Amino acid sequence: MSMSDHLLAERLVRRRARVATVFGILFMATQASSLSRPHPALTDPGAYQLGHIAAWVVWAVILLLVLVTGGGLLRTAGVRQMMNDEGTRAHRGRALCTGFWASLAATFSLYLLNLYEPITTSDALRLVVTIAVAAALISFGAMERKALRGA
Amino acid sequence: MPEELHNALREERGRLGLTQGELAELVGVSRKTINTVENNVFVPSTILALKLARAVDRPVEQLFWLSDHPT
Repeated sequence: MSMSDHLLAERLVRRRARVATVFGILFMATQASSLSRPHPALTDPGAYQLGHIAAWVVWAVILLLVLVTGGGLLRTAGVRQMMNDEGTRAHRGRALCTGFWASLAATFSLYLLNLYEPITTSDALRLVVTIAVAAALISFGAMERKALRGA
Repeated sequence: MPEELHNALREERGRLGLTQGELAELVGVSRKTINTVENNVFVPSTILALKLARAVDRPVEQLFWLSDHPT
């Protein structure tokens, strides 16, 4: 691997750490704001709602792909290998574990909430997926940024 | 009590006058991974430990040791 590839991988790793944290927070924040709106079943489920749900699905899939693949898909194999070295893979494994526990906590919480305040299945599923993806991303970003400190 | 892995990577790297980035390039990992190994945050795999030992020209047991077995 050339020095320029190495430097490029370093730059992309730093950028990925920042992006993971910011996008994780943004993803959760936008979903939280959308949940405060009246449920589509209570209003007219028009094109706006469908567009909003489609955007959420696309965003969730993209964020998951970034987390699982490590990004840099258009870069050379050497750069991708450096971006996904064993330190990064360890962080990813721990981040996915965090996402799993966050989804369990969200599921239990929603189950309890449902006893007092009925919540639709689609809202519950959206919340669980949002919390799992955001928790995994934020956790990954935090571990990567901590590892980069002083490097 | 859980055993801790210690290492002399920072000292050996300094002995050779290598930066973290240069050592990272020699063994094919990112600089942050070298940083986390040096700070005892990350326990490297056997493969990476052997690569690091080879890069700094030291036997692996002189580069890494357990807390109850100081070298």
